[in-house]
Amino acid sequence: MNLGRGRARRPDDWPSSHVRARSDLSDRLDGALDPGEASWLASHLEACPDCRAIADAYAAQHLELRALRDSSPLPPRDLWARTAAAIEAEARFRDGRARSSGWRKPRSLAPSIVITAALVVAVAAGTLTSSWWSGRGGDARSSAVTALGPEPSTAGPASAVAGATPIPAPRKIAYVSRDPEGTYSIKTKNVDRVCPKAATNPCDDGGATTDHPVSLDQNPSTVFGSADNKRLIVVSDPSAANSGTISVVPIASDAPESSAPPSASASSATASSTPSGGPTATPVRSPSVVPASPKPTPTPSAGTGSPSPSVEVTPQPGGTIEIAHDVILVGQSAAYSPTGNWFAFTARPVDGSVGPDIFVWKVGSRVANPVTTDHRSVFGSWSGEALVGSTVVEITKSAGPGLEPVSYLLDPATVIRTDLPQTGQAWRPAVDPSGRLAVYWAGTVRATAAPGFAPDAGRLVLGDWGTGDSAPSNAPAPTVLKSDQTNARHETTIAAGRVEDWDARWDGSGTHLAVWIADSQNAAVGSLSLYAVDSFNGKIDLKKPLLDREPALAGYAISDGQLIWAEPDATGSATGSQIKLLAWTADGVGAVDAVTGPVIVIR
Amino acid sequence: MVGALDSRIGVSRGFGGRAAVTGAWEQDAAAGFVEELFAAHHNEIYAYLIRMLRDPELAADLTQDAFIKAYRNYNVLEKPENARAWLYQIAHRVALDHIRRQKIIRFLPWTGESHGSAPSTERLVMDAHLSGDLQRALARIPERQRAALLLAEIHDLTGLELAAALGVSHVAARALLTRARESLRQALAAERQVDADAEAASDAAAAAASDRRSGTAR
Repeated sequence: MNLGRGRARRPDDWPSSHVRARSDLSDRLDGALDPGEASWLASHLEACPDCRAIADAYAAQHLELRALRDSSPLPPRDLWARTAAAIEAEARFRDGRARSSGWRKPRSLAPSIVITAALVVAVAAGTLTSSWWSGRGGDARSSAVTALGPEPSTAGPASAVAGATPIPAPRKIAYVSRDPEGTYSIKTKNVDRVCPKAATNPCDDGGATTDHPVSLDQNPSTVFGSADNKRLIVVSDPSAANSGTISVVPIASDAPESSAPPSASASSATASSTPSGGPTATPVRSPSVVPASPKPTPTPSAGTGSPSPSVEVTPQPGGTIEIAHDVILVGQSAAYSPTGNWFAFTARPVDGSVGPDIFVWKVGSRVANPVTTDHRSVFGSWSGEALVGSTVVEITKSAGPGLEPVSYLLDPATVIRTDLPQTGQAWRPAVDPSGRLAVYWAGTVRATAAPGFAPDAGRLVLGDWGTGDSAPSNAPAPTVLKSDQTNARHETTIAAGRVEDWDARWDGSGTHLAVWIADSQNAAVGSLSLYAVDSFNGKIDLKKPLLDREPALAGYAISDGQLIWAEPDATGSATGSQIKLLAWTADGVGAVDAVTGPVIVIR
Repeated sequence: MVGALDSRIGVSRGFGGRAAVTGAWEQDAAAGFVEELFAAHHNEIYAYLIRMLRDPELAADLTQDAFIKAYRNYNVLEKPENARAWLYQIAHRVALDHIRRQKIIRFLPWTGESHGSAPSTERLVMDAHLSGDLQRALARIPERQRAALLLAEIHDLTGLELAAALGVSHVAARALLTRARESLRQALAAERQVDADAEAASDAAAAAASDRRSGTAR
């Protein structure tokens, strides 16, 4: 035992040398005696027979006490039952009411009578922290928006909430709506309050809606907002004529999109490959890339029919730039990096010639670049400013050949790839902001009819990602994790059996995790759950979701304090009937139906 | 990474670091956490309390009190790795509070059943079971010294944990341990002297009886 070094006592501090000797003898039993004091003690014992007797007595009683460790009395068996009952009683007392176990109010699929031409696309408003998106900026538009209450994190009087009283939760939901003429406009829906779980009657969100015109030239299927509120990333509807494009649309008509954020150090690779000279720039892969396939494909200049998706720069009217075309977005994992400097997504050529690769777009550049060339890579998530991707390798098992996932870290600036064999079988990991936990597919994958991959045998789990304080990237000499991955990584099952697709995301602070799991029959719809990281022990209790398998369309937005999703309509089509908001504040958690109408919620 | 993790687990984030558990969601989190703590540590906390108080029934009650206090003060603990020492600190305070109340009660007129003020049946059984020089000697030394010795020698708390559990600086914890070892040495010596005296007295009585028997026979 190390008791630490106390204030060193000078020899004349001691009432007597015998007192000093007893202190030393005690410290010695705890292993806390420094060498100088030990030699003093030795010479003192030499000269003091009484002190030697005391030393023997201390040693003997030390052994006797230690022997008591072996005879620990066992507590009564009902001790937990008693304690739990007392805690429950106290919780009820503090709560002022009996707690119900579930909070979902009776659900009736909202009648989808309003099949109007209004296509509403909700945008990830979650990370929006300034300007008119969130109504807290100082520009002219924010003043046009209904006055807001205090900021979400400091919402409302803490003591005012009890029972079914609505929880003050000033939030904004930004979404894109299309009118019958096909003109898109961004709307923001203000939400002033949400209803706690105990609410039996729907409560009014108290908010107003504001329009912000914006011009989109194509049918969007997926829209991503950005943290700085300056642009949308619009993925075109694959079924529409102008299909297979991913475009960046500046949205701040009063604040034109500026050039790339000044992060010179991070911009080298992409900047060199995409000179701002013009639309004919040919992306050149960084020589430092570690090819994941035996045949790294030199990225050709753009052209239809190219084996790799084209990334030719195509400036669009109205400031829109097309960062990729002839591609289909794969999976649900596309995301901005934590700093907002990069946007990563998985895509494959629309002609189906090859499988998926990971692309990154550096904010401010004019093109998205593929950072893998093996045509079997998918983007998982960001881990800091490195992206976590997964590829698949052939394995031979007793049952026959199969495909096993391997994950890696990839620096978008240098395209340097670091394999993570120590993470075992982990496909598409969604790593939390601390790098400590991840949601991933633990198992094998299979090839799909369209060139790509889907989960095969295994489970969707929440498991350890980093090891202790260090992320896998920092681990020296990674070793392949083969034995008992389930226990080694403390994996707990989120979903098992047939999982067609999923989308797991953490909020910015890493305190909440949302997991959407696709329906096995219709991958456009699924169920969405929200879990809280225990602020005390850092663990997640999957048995205690804040949102429990709510029906939701693919694509949702999670950010600090809020989760936004769309409820599917009765037909299970790709358009939903409502945008829903779940907000968590210091006062509790509540939900509200925010926008009604045919909606497609994306991120 | 470490900093991010710490701030994430810290009370400043998420639940706002408020002093008490109030919202239903926090209560769920707190109850869940206490359940985990209980599963991991209730045996040793109970063992510590029974060693401090030598009363199984009382130790069970105070173990329950300690975990309820942990639940109430869920938000006070900032780092989960300190949970064990924190629990010991709570149990230590619970035990000392009880001992202090007991001392007060001893000066009050007895008005009825007052739990813990008189040795329970179980306690008497325990004493019979565990009695020995060491147990009696431990019972004789001041309770803070006893706590320090039990925590250090039997419950294996390391320096800073020991100090935290005792609610003192680690220099003070070391000094407490030094005094405790000396107190125990003297108490053990006294117990053994009592034993020796009793043995001698019993020997003397036996000898006297033997003398009487021989006397009557004579």
